[in-house]
Amino acid sequence: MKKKSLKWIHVPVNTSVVYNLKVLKDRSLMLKKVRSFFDSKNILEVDCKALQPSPSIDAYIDLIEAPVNKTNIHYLHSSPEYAMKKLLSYGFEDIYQLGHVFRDGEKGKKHAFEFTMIEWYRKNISFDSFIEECIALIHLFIPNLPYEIITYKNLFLKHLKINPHQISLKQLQKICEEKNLLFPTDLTKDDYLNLLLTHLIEPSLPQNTITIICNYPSTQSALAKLKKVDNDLIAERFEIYIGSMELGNGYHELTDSREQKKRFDEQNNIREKLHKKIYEIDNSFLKALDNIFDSYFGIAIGFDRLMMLRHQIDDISKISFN
Amino acid sequence: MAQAATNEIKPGMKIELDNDPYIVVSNDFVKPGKGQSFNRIRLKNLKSGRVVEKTYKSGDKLDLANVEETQMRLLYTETEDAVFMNDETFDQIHVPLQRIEPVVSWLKEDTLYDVIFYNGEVIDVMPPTFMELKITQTEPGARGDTASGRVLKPAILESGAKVQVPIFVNEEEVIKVDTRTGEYVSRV
Repeated sequence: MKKKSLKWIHVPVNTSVVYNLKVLKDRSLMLKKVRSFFDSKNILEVDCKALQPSPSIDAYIDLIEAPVNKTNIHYLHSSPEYAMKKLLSYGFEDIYQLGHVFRDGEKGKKHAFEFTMIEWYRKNISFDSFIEECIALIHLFIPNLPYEIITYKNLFLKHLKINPHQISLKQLQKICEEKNLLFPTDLTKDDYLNLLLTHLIEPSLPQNTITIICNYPSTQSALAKLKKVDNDLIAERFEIYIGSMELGNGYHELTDSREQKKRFDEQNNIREKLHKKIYEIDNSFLKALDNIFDSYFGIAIGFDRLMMLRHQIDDISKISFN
Repeated sequence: MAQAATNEIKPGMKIELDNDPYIVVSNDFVKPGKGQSFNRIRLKNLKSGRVVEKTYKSGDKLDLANVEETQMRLLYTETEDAVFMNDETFDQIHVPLQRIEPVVSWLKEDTLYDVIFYNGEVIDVMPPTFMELKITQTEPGARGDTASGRVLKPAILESGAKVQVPIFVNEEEVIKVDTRTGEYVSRV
């Protein structure tokens, strides 16, 4: 018999097990590096409880409920934000938390019900200095990446030639029709803007570059302060991307409890319309905001997504200890 | 009609949209920042083969298509039809070749195919992933051709499929082929 040509011989090599071990060991190393990073800046580690008696209130973040004493509903935190802000009101100044957070219904290549978050707050820092600190943290994972800052408005002008602060719902619907985007029909203006961002803009964000999108529409302010820029009311909120991967969400923190209560009510109104559970407002959190007298910037960054990018793995479940 | 929510939709499931059957190619969960979450679902029309991408709000429900797959044996082909038989019920069906055009060159009598029905009507026929077929036509491979880097040559198989085979295989030999790609696997 003739010798078979090498071309036709398949040698199955399973390297994934070995590779996973390498990635997981690196995960431990990076947790340590993140802690050293904050230590070196005199930012104090806190470990607020994951199990909270009061829910955080976001129209689109569903909490995992945990019954305690069989009758009381507690919640696994979706971020340590409220608890950390309470610490700020007690007089803590620069703090970070590195730990697990939980979100119901979020499962996909970039989403998991439980993931690891790096969240920190900085007192009386400028936007520019805070961004530099965020970049330095990202550079622990992926060194030397350049960064760009662009406003939400300029981003939409650049990619879609529309002003997101001025455009009407009708015009947005028309754009989606023209671009042959098969979207649900009962969307709000913010839903459309979000979809245009995820479907058309994110894929064309520059690769191997950190993009910081700032000055979000006031209707997407969440827990950020508002300000006027060129006659547009905008939120001092920013999102960090690497390539098309969303990594973190930061604010110039809102400390006005009345405004915060109003926003919670709005979020709950949206929840009601979506037939979702209305969350009870945590009054002790609102009181805490009244006792924060300094200016704070804060951000939450997904540790797992940074690890995905660091190891070029496209599935979040492959970089976690399971 | 049976339905499935976006988080239950998996690749390979069949759904119905505007009275057409679709197979789910992929389902990606997207959630922008603090916004509403969506599922971007890529769907292939089982009749036309066209792929579309549709975005749903997470939690929305999709209609499942009444699609069934049955293994059937090819009895024979006529000028316009292929005739398949169910080995268990002995039911026979005539399928117009025109409707299953991509698979026509992989039809071999007495072979089991997956026949896909939508609302009782045949919309697709899938050949086995690997088939053993005789080469009916190919040029003899000349020695020395490997030196020039030419290691493949065209061949026509008994079913009519045109594939590339290594130069050392000859007419009348039976080879194993991957029907998904038309690639040569081995001699039999």
